[in-house]
Amino acid sequence: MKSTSIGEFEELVLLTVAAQHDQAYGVSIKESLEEILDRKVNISAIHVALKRMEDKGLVKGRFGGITSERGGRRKKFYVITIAGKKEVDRQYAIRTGIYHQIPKISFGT
Amino acid sequence: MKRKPSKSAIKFLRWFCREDSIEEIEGDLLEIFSKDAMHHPRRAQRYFMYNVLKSFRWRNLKIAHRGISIISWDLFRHYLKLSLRSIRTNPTFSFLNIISITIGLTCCLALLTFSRYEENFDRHYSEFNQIYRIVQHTQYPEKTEFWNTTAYPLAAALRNDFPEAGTVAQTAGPLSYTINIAGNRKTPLRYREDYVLFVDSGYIKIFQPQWLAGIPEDFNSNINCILLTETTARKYFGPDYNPEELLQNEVIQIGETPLELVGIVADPPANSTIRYDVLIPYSFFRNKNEYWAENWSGNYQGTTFIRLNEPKRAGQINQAINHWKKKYLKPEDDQRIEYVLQPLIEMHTDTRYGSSPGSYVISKKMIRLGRLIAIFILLVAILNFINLVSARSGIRLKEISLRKIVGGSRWKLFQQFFLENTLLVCIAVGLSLLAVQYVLVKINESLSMINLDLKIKQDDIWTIIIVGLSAILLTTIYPASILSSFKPVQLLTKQFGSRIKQSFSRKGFILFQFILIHGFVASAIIIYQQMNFFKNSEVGFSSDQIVITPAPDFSKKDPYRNELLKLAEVEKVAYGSGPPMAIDGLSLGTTFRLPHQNELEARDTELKISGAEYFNFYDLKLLSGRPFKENKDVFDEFIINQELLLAMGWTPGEALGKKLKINEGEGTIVGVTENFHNNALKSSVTPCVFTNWKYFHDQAFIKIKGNMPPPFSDIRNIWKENFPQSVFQIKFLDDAIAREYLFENLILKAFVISSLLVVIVGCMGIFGLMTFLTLQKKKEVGIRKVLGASIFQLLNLFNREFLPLILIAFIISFPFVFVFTTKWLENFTYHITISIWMFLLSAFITVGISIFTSTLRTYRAATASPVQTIRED
Repeated sequence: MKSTSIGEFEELVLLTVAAQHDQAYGVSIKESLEEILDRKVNISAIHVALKRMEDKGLVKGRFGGITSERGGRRKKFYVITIAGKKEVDRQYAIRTGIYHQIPKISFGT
Repeated sequence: MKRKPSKSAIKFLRWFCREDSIEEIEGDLLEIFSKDAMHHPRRAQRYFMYNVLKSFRWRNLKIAHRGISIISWDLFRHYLKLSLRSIRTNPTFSFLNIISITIGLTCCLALLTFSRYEENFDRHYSEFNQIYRIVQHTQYPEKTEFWNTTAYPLAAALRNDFPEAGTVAQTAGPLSYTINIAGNRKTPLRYREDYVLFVDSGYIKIFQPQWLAGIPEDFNSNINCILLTETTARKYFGPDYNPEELLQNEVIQIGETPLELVGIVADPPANSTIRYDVLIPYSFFRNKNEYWAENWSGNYQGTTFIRLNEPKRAGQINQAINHWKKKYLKPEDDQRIEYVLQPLIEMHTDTRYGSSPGSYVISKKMIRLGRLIAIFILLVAILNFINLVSARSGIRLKEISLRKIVGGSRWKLFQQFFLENTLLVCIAVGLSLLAVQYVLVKINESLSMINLDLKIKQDDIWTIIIVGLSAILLTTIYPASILSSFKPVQLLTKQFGSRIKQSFSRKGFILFQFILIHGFVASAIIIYQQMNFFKNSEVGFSSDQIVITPAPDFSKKDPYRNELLKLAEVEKVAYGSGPPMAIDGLSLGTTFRLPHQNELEARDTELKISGAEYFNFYDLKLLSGRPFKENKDVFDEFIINQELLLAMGWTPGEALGKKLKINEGEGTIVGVTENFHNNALKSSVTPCVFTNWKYFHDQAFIKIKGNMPPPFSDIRNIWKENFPQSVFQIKFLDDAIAREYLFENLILKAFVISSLLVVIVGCMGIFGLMTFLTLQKKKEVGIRKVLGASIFQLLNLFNREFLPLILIAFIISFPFVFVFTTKWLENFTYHITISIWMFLLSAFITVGISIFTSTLRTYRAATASPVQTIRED
């Protein structure tokens, strides 16, 4: 049985795929992540994360049309699946749940 | 200008990347590149390559994706079926392949087992690394003599003066004794034992024989006792003897002395230098041979061993011993004698010291040569296999193309051919494992005189695995990659580009094979010539129709001779210490000098003691003087050989009447013999002196008339009447002389067998090659025939494929064989000169056999009706 647990980087990629619904592909995910995270992200890391999540059934890929800038290669667009959406929701619930448990402490700000 | 990413990077990406990911990865990478290239063209290029490298992950690889098919059982079964089918449809081909690889493997395994056996000599003792044999180097003006024996008092003196160095052991022998077992039996059992070894308690401590019955303490504390090995005990008391009962009751006699049986020990492993069947305390030997046991200046079959407490200090201890020895040795001996600690494991491989009785030495070089031959034979077989498989590939071109057209990838075809060939080799490995057992048994039988006991042992399993695996890999990978590389287009366009390349490498293989074949055959011819030379050379005395028996009792000499002479077949009888040529390692050594010279000026000579009739018996020619008149209690006459005459610088006439002194006494020279070979032809003729002593006439020589067979049973009966206390032995002098060349004969045998095998394997190769060539050239032959070619021309068409290669191989192998055989021949004082005809003969043989085998196959093709061959299709 394939485990559905995902790592932090995969979660970020998954969120981006969900955000860019149906228009997410390797380069667009990379650019968006680089902007948000403010650091370089390697494209092959994204490929690996996408492939893994595709194997786990969290995202689904489809091929788009041919563009000239890609040397005749088609884009592979990804959409989030229901399982993927559930996973995102679960992660969000876990995080906010824990976040709300933080006592109201003043850090002097 | 539009920038383009590096082509080779893309090529690399496309090469490794799996098909279902390439679209996405390559597209993304190119997009990033084109975006980057707008700002930083150089960096974009670098970044692109970096990304390609980063994408080189297991997950993206083609192979990882295919990994599933490697273990797919269905595909495996499919390939297996195909392989079996292919083996079955082409039985000749499969048979040739399997047999040639089996021969190669069997030979290789047998030789490797042999080398391992030889290398492990004496390594079975615990702490063998700490044990040393003390050997002696004796310095003479002309040469240094190397002795594996030492004087008897050495051990006791070492034990006394170097107590902290380690444990010292002394052995004497192994010697021959007659063993009597009376007990309650009516007729006592009597056996001749050739390997009776006398050992002290130090020996038991160092070498730790395994006790099957009895305890070491009984042996160490008793003087008149005896230990038997398991085999000897079985021989005496039957296979079901009860050791406990024997130990209390049996008394074993040597001569008149009863010895108590105190234990039974396991047989020493066959690959030990120290051989024994019976052990007796050294103190027993010492009491019986007091003169020898106390004498520092003679070596009488005694060996000293030491197990050092600190092996690292071996060098120091050795020095200390050589400094200390003057305490005991006579000054002149102290000057010439040097003691050396020889590591136990070198006893078998250091040929300088010669072999101890019952054992043999073999140099490390010979062991290495054996291993080299093993590898070469296997290599010939493997190359042959590769050759056959790739020769057949032409025929399988159609099958391969079709498979590729319907979607078989190169990798899958590779797997198929790999499996097919592996199957063949596996069958061969299995067969050779069976064969090698049989071969080893045969080798052991034929070499029983050196007590060889080759067996496949647990340690050999690794050898087998490594040899088997490398055979499989070498034989399968190359042909499989060749076969799978064919492109279907080649079949359609008939452009056999890669076939040219392939026939080039095939020619290389054939060339290499024939270099080895030539090497083996030419060496075998030269070694055979040398052995023939040994056998047929004039030795300077007559050796035909002579048998030798022991003559243990001097007083019975005349009755024994007279009764023998009554036999119709017996012509002459003579007595002496040994035949003119020293046989079975038996020669008496002494030194000679003029009476006024001192001991330091004495030179080595062989001593023979003979009766008056000896010279006539052996047809030894006297250059001057006369034979002895009678044998005396104190000898007073010498007959010397030419070599000794030369050493003294006399003429034959001058020598007569001169006085000479040897270690044993003084006498007058009464005769000079022409040189005869007193050593086997491997060594030069050495000085030799005969005396007319009454003692040491241990051997009786009996000349048989004409071509009659010797009357063995009559001789035996007469012998038994005269020497009832001893055990009868008889041998032909010719056989004994032939045994002197035992080792050389073995080498000859090894080379003859190896060359036979490589020739057979090579012939199989040619036969297989021709099988496929005739198929390939069927049409060509038909057309040529129609146009008027003769059968001879057609045969020539095929022979052209390999005849030039044989000639080139001949030229290449020539210098190697020449150097190797010249080196080998230099070991012998008397040897043949290598001449060109030996090489030509070898070339002639190889060419002849190759043409013969090839014609077996091609003749049919050349005589086939052209109508049929051309009409096909």
